[in-house]
Amino acid sequence: MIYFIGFIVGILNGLFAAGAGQILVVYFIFSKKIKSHLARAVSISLLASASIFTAIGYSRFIEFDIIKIVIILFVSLIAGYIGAKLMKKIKSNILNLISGIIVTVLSIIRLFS
Amino acid sequence: MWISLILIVLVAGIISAMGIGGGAIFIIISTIFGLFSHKEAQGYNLIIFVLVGLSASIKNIKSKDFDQKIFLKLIVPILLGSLVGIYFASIVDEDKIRKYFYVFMLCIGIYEIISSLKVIKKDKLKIDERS
Repeated sequence: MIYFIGFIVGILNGLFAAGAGQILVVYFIFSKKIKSHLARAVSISLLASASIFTAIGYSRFIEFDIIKIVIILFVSLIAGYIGAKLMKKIKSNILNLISGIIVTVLSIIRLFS
Repeated sequence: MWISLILIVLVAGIISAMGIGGGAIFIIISTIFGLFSHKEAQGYNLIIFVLVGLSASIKNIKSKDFDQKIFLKLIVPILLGSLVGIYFASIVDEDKIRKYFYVFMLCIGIYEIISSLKVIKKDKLKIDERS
């Protein structure tokens, strides 16, 4: 089952380029009973590794601007460090609740925009 | 334009590194601000996520908040799935199937809210019982 979920999450990551990690997180927390922080940390590493290949695949559809990539590179590295630090300061239940609210609100926006 | 790009990447990057849905935030906000088309936003989001993931993973591994076994178990199926997903992205009209994905995501979000509220309520009852 876990391999099948992984394969499906990979397909969704390749197809939509966002959101697939949440499926993995929900599966880890509520089905495999893995602690929220650990589930999110593993999900981030897995999806980031897969995103290397997905980004290369997307370069066939779009032209990346090198200046934007350089800016994104610096800001993302700082953001990643701050986010990982902040994650540990929030209780897992609250983190799950915030995540659920963000995913719900964004899905509604995406559905009706 | 550059300041809004930096701010959006910073906010979405922090939320991504917390594993609570920063990618979708980046795509929505950057397209609302007219910085990118939807497809471009998806591509740049992937680059952001690779770097945010790298930075967050180093931090998580250092603080031992990481399970190597699960990572090794899932990395191959996820990579294979991603290759299939990229192939699908080149042959199907992603706009047509996108709404089904977001209906599914909506269900995931609602499930996450209900499940976490249940746990919060349970914890509160335990605390009340103790006091």
